[in-house]
Amino acid sequence: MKRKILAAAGLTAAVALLAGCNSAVPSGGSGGSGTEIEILSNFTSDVSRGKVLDDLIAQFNEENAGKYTVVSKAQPDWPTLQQQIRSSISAGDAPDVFLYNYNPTDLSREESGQLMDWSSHLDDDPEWKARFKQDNLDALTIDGQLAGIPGDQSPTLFYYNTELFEQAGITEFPATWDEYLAAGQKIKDSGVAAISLMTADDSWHTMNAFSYLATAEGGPEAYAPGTDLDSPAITKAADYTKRLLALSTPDAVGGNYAASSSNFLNGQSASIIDGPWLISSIQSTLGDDACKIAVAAAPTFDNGAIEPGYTVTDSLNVWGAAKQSDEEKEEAVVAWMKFFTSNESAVRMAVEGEYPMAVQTELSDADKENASCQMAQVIELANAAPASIVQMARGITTDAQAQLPSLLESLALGQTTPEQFATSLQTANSQ
Amino acid sequence: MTTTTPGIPPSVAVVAEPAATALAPRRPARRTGQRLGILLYLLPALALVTLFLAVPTLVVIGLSGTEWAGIGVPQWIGLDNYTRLFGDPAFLKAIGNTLLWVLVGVVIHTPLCILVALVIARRPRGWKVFRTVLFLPNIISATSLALLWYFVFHVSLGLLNSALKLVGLESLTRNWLFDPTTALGVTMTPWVVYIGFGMVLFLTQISTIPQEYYEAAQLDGASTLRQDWSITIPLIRRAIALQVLFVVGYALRSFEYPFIMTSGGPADSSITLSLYIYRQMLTANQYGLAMAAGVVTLVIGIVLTAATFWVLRRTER
Repeated sequence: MKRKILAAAGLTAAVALLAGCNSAVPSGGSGGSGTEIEILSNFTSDVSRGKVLDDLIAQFNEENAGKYTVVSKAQPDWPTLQQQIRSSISAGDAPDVFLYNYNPTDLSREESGQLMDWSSHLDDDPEWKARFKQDNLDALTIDGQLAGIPGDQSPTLFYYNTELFEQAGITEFPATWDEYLAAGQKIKDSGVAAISLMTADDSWHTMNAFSYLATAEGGPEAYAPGTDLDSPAITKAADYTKRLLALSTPDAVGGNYAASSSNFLNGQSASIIDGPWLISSIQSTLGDDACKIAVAAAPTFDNGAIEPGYTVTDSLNVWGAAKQSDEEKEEAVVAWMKFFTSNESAVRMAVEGEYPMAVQTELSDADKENASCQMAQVIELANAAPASIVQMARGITTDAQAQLPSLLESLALGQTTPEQFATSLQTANSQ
Repeated sequence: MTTTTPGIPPSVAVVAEPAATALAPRRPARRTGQRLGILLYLLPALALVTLFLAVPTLVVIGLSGTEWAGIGVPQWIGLDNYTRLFGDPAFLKAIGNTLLWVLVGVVIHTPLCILVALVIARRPRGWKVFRTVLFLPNIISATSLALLWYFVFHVSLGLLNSALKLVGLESLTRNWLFDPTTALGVTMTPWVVYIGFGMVLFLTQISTIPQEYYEAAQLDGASTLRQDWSITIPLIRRAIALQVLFVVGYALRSFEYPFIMTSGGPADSSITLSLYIYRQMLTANQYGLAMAAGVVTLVIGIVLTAATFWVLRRTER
């Protein structure tokens, strides 16, 4: 008898454990039934945007009780999430709704025939359609079909520790890259690394710097698709990136995103170029001291190649959906996306979730006051930006992306020259 | 006294002979029945091997001749993937590093396992504790161990650099994980020092050697070293061959340590074949190229296994 009770308890625990796996939001919410759709993203409940998503889902489920039920399935690791989506599409079982990174050089997902065409739904609701930038909708329209709904296109900006800058005698954020390098040397001499960089995985922080350097020298088209990357702009960017790596932390070569951002948050480096999701970590790590972290637009070379104040952005992340044979499910997916991309949801995502969405977002004065000191600056800088350019690594071929860490490490270690770096990058990108 | 055949460990000889007698054929009908019985016993294993090894291997070989991003229909491109592989410095580096893993496994790791097994086989004081402690890492996940070693070698948080500073050897501190001259060695270190599995393998084999051999040697005045060299090591050569096969297998699959500790860097200096395949598949979405690299790995594995057996046969002559 005792054994049976134990076995039953074990089975119940195992089922409960398995049922809880991956689910950020309890299924059903107060609605409990109706057509159920699953959302696959990296919005885990332990980060601000995940908490807001959970709240929005709960609200949506309550408003649509008995009709629709949304369930969040979160995968915190972005590359794993992307592979999971790719595998599902390949197996003919695309997730109901999923967040993926759009890459113009890899349209395999959009051209798989597995994705829902959103064009008729947007055409049927011009007000909803007007909430998105036409450029984004055009980019996502492949063979006349709209492959997804623009999710976010976060600006990457300089986050810098004003205290550490002031300790090194720098009171204003540098306007040119040469001034930045000079300031960086002073900061390094004061015992702190000037900038957090990393070369592992997608070399995110380093490639943000590289993209700013390349566009500052070569203008917005410095690495546009089809451009020869064996160019003076890429060579100069490589040269300055090498100098920045020398001003970075000792673990920059080989370090990953977590190490690089921790170095900044722990005060071991004075600046970092990152997206607005960093704000959540700044707020939680620094607490009352959070506002000592200021946000600035990147320097330029002051050569007229590009107007100061421009931003380099992350790739356009897109909400795709599985092509549905069930009309009710398709209606549920559309109803959810309309709710999720409404101004009210977008404001909550921006203010509480530290996650600006790629839709028109009108913040009231009260919203602006509620936003964190960094988010208010991000919104201000993004609105004032004369141009936005997608980060370089997001637009090159996947083959070149895979080789980036190795190329950057060779550059940092002096195994290759900036000229050789540009040539190797072009070779990798043209394969 | 147990009867043994020269060159064959006693345990094998003792077990093999009665088994052969029991299975000896008496009548043709009975032989057919026995064959059917054997086939029936083998059928489940054969089905599993066919389904989960032979068929996937054929699929991998087929896909290695295609260009495929993981979605859509693979496009046949013949041997282009192989041409590209052998023109890729990262792949050549991965082959070189993997072979170095094999070499280190055979020349350093295996002798270490033998040495410790020889010591523990003599049952010194506390031998059971040593045996357990040395085997312990084999039941801990390699991922956890890799993380542990990552923090041993980390440039600023690492125990090694801290220890060097503590004893006044600050000049020797370095970025062990991302210095091109140390990265590969650092990723191999955990594997080299975790000798538990090989040690147990050798201990098991040593335990089957009759004590009479040693007693006879002692009567002849042979030293301990001489006994190990002339009795133990020749009689455990099959276990050594088995260990070498394990080493080859592990080297070809070596992934966790380089992946977690260095991601194959810096500048591919610690990349291995497994990591190269992973990178091509999951970062570059070059599934066809990854399959071709897999086929090359398979061929290297077959060659190294055949070489091990060849060496073993020669030593038995």
